[in-house]
Amino acid sequence: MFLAVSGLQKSYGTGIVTPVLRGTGLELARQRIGVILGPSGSGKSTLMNIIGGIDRADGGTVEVDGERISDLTDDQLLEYRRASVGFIFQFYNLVPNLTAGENIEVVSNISEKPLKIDDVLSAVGLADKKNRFPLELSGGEQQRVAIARAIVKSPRLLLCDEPTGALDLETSRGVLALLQRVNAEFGTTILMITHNAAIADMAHSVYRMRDGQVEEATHHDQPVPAERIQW
Amino acid sequence: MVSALNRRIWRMLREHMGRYVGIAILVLLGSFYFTAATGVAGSMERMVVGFADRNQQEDLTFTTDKPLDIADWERESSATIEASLRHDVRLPKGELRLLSPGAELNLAQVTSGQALANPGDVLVDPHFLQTQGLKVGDVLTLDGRTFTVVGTVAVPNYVYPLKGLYDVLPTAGFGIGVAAQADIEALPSATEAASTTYSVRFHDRDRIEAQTAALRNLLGDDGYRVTEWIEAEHNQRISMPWGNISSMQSMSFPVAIAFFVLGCVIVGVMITRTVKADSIIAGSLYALGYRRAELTRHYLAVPVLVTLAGSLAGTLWRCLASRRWSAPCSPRTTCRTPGCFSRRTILRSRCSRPSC
Ligand SMILES: Nc1ncnc2c1ncn2[C@@H]1O[C@H](COP(=O)(O)OP(=O)(O)O)[C@@H](O)[C@H]1O
Ligand SMILES: [Mg+2]
Repeated sequence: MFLAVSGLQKSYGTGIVTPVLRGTGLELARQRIGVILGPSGSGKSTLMNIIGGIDRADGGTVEVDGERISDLTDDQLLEYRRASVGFIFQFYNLVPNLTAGENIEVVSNISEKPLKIDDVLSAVGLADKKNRFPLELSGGEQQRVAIARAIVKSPRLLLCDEPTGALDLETSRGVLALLQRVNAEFGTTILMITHNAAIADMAHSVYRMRDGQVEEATHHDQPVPAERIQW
Repeated sequence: MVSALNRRIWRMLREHMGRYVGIAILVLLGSFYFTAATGVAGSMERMVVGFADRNQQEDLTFTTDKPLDIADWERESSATIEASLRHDVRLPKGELRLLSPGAELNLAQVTSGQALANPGDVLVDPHFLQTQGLKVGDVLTLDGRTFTVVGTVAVPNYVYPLKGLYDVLPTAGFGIGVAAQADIEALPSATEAASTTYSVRFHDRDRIEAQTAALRNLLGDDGYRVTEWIEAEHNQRISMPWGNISSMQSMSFPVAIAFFVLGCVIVGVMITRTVKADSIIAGSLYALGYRRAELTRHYLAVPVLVTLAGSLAGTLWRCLASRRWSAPCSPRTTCRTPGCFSRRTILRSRCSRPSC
């Protein structure tokens, strides 16, 4: 299994301790798309941050491509993030005073074998908007830049936390289709959070979370292309 | 390596140019005062100490009701004692105090022109030369006799040329001149008005206060009536520059420190605000693989550049300003010539204090 999470525990707070993850587990095969569904506050982002190496669990294990992330030191975790993980956020989080091209360059600067910036821009369909600043782009275009920024280092694992949460239906479809293409063309394993159940149809694996646990995991061999998803 | 992020630094600077220029100016003023306070006080101190030492400035001066046997008293108090003649001559506009040149103490320093060579030669202080509209080589009539001004002079016991010992400011038109003792004695008015003063400099440079007290007691015991007794420390003609230096130090340092603290607070607020406003982006870059150190460097770049620009400009400004200001007497070049202590320079140096 490319990604294997098991028995993950995580609590926040000193004094009054709130458990957020309570023995969470999931498995995702290589080059597949997984979607985590669940109500707000169920621990989806917490789980994703631990998988991405920016947070640590209190117990349990995370394995990525045979490497036990949960055992890494801080420095090793940074190398893991640098080399293997791409992050995409709900609100794009682009650097405001850098152009689309420069935002991608920021990540390619710290990558060992980055893809060409122009190739990545073409792949997300923004070849002609390279010199635009984020404020000069639409929400969908900004999210495309964010995707380009995440994939420029050709990560093995792409983590998307509600990537269409701030976009309208039509634009969302385009972004999801793009993620499917990235998965198909670059072979990137993608784990995506959403609270929109309709999106689940485009994934190979779907995990339903509630109160810090994965209640149900379903797997499809033939996911629906994003363009055909009905909301 | 993080070149794309560096491009952002210039854009941030440009976007908030006004704010950053303001902060840079504040830092500039702070560093200007700081370097001015340390630099000017330091070089003045070097000039004053150097001049006093090289030219054998007196430790005290006094007059007595009857002449002293100098050789006797020198032995008695292990000091150099010298008598000098002093005579004030009125001029149409002003007054010149003629002093006989010291041989061992209070050595006159020629700051321009020639030393005394022939009868009828006189040296005057540069300020007097200027206010009388004289040039070196001009003729000056004193008490009906013709003198030739052969140069300008600085005298260690008249660093600040006060006419009376207890004057606060120099008298307008008053100046100091140095002429041969014979020439002063030959002046018609000198016979009754000229007076002799004694200057003392102890061999042991450490216990001056105790030696001074001992000498005073001895003179009293021997039946001398001592008048005009004044120690260098209390003699404004000598100690004025010292007060000047210490007030410069004591006034300028708090000002510099206040600016420094203010600068620190502002730069701190600036960093906190930037990091707070940018925390989501910083978090994203961290998630994408940036090291904490790389991000810290990125967010420190602007404040460091602004502070650096300000302090460099302040220091530079101070260097340029001081070059103009102390041109005739920069301590390292010309200040072996103590012409620096003409009244003009001292008054001007007072005005380098931030309070004026
Ligand atoms: N850094 C944190 N400190 C304290 N509580 C947190 C923190 N992060 C998340 N939580 C809490 O953990 C719970 C799960 O949060 P999260 O994983 O963001 O949920 P989701 O992404 O499913 O909406 C929430 O109740 C949230 O308040
Ligand atoms: Mg969330």
